Amino acid sequence: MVATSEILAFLVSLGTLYSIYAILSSSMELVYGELGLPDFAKSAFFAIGAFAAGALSVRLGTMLVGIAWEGEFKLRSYYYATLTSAKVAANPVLGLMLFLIPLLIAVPTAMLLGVLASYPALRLREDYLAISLIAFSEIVRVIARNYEPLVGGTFGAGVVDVFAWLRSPWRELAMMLTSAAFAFGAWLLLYKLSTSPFGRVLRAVRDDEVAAAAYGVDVAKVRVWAMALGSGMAAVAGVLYAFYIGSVNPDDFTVSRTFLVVLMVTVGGRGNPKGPLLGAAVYLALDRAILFAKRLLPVPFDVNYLAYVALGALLILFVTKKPEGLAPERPLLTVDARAVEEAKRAFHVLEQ
Amino acid sequence: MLDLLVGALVYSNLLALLAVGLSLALITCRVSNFAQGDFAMVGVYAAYTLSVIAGVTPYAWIPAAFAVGGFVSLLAYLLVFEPLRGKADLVTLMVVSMALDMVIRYSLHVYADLMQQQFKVYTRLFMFDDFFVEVAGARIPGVLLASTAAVVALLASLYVLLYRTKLGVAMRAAIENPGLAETLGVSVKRVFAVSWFLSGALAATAGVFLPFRVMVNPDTGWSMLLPTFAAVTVGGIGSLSGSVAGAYLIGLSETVLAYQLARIGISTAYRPLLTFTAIIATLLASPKGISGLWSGRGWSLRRRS
Amino acid sequence: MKLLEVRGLRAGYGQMEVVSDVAFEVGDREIVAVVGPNGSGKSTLLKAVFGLCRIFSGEILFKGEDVTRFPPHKRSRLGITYLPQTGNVFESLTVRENLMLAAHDLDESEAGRRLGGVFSLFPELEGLMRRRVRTLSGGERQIVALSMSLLRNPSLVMLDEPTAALAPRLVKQALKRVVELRDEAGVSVVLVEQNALSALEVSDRALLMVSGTVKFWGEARELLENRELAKTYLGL
Repeated sequence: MVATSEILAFLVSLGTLYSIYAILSSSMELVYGELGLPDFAKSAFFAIGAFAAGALSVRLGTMLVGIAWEGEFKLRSYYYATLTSAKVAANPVLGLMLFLIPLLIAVPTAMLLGVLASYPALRLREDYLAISLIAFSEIVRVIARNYEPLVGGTFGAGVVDVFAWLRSPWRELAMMLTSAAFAFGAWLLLYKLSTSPFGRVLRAVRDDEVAAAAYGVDVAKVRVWAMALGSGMAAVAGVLYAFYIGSVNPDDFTVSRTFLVVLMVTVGGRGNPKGPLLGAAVYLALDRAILFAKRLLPVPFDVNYLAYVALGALLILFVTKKPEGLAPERPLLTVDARAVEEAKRAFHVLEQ
Repeated sequence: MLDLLVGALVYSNLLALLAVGLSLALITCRVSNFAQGDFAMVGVYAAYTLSVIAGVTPYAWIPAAFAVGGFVSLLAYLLVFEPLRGKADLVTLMVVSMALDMVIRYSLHVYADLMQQQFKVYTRLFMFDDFFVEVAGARIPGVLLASTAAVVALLASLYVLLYRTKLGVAMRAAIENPGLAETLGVSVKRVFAVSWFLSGALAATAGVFLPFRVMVNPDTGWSMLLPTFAAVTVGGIGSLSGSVAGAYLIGLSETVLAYQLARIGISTAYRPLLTFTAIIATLLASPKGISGLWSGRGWSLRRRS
Repeated sequence: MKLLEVRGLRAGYGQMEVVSDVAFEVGDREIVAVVGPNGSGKSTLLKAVFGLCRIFSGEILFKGEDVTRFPPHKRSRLGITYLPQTGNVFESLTVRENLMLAAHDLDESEAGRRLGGVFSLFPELEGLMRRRVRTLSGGERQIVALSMSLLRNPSLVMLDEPTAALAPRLVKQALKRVVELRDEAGVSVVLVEQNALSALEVSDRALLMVSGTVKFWGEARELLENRELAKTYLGL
């Protein structure tokens, strides 16, 4: 028997995770689906958001409430995170600040790095650009893993509970609503850009860079803008993720995560704003289904492995059998025939 | 000092085999194969399993690893890359190879778990026992001799295949201009299948030597991927001989760098920095890589495009 | 029975029709020139006869057999070869390797025999055997390409602008080789050419194509003497 409260908790948690993934896949859709840039450093931009929360929330929190810090960061971050959370329980404004400040630092940082990452795109063939971005992403992870003052190295870092001023289940609900709000905002941004002239420019550059340039498109500028926005969005997702999980661990931000986001966009459908939403849903559904199956079928090995095998096979299947994804790209909307007729009539009236 | 040299040479030998395999995939199907490292691990586990069953050293099972790795790679080609040939763009092919990496790597994880239960041996972070040879008072590990012999034998055979046999002529023709080869009656699919078999077989052979030097688990192949790409890039994309040269350059410099880093107290986990820099620098400054020095002669198999 | 008969051919790419209602024929030991302005569908016509583009309607009969739906390698085995303008040799291979490939499905003695025939036609080839094709001149490459075609023992060779990559003074030489193909190898040739005057001078019959349709089909000499057509479409 599963209690309603358990089901609700499960749904709220799912909702939060879905929102976070929706932001990530929307950001990938913008850069990879619309512009065609293989942003395989996505995990790094995601990580920047999470690392900002991990590195800053506890340090800032203790500083603001006047708790003195004893001991190494890697060993004590969880302890001080708990202490600070207790202070947040009495002071919602503190929680708000500890959420916003890392966000306001992470997003511009990620955007700047995203802009820097867009420059090699001008000189490198796409698959080698992708490899370089992966290498960059791994560098970020390796540094975070070894430079312990950042997020505690392999120990990870504790993160302040910014919603401690609410009791369960309102805490989790608040987390979900916040994430959903950001997800909606991110997706709306994607939708607006995609359906605007800028979206057409992006797709033009994706389909034929030389032709786009011949028509006066500043390809470099377009890339810079898209990468800046995409990276910023990923960082937002990272901050939310850190506060959702409650801690940050560098090994959580590997190339596998980038691969999952690419999977979401490919399965969902590139070039269609609905794609990232569908893709994130499919991935989460599969992920939860496998976790569920874990409890039902005892197998002599870790079921997580099967999850990756299944996801890999899913991507291969989609690319070979249904490359346009679940939500295919729709052809350019041309002017309505009736509108043309009306315009003609109006023109005749003017002529007279 | 000796150990450093031995380590550098063995590492470079392995990279050479992996890089040549990666190059073959690149020049036939234009795919930067992210599963290349996993073919190596397939070889490891094949040899390990057989040596556990038969109680004989893994060295004896190199031909078996060769065959199994080749078979897996061939399957990947026939099921995934051949259907996409000429239809998918470079990044999509890359993404597919990443998915393939997931499938193979995690299947190996599953296999490792099963093997552990079945044979009651360690299937993660294990090493093989090596034999040693006394030469001029120094103890040379067998893996140095074996890996060097394997590299020499395999690369020489590959050269003979490509430049002295009818099949080799057909392969080089199909790589340069598949359309023309097809109209002359060459089955490009069959010829590429041979390339892919070799790609996986070379990687699998390289894999068998790994556990004689370092601890190994299913993810080790993935960590060899970046240096392999670096070797191919620095050597010159599309050039097999370049890949070999690049492998030794990267292998030796990476080992030396790691040694120097350790001496000044920086964690060797920063090793990827060298390969990353090497890739970026080559691509931005001198895209033809080392093979640019000798292109037009020797082993430069380039695509028409 | 003519060697090649083409009737009512409509062909092109995708949905686009490039060759509209073309009919012509080629007999034994005959050179047919296909001339006309740029973009008139000449290359497409050759591709259609070989099976490399879409055929909307019409018939292609080779030695009496309807090959309209046959794939290229099957037509090749029946005795038609097609030499495109570019990409007709393997540059990274030696001349010997290129010829080896062309003869790969022949047994040793047959291959040797045919190679001997090619050498007697193009004696300069023997000295080039060890050279990598990339290092050869335009004219030499063309000899290699033609030889590769001949090794398949064709009855009909279709050449797409063989003189395009050649220096002007070599054009006459190249066309002389085409004549040798007919006279000494006993092969018929369909020749698409921009150098209309030179091509018509060596051909038996000619097909003038303009915008996908046939404006003239008959004796090559007649087309040359038709001042109006020659001036309007061929710039002569």
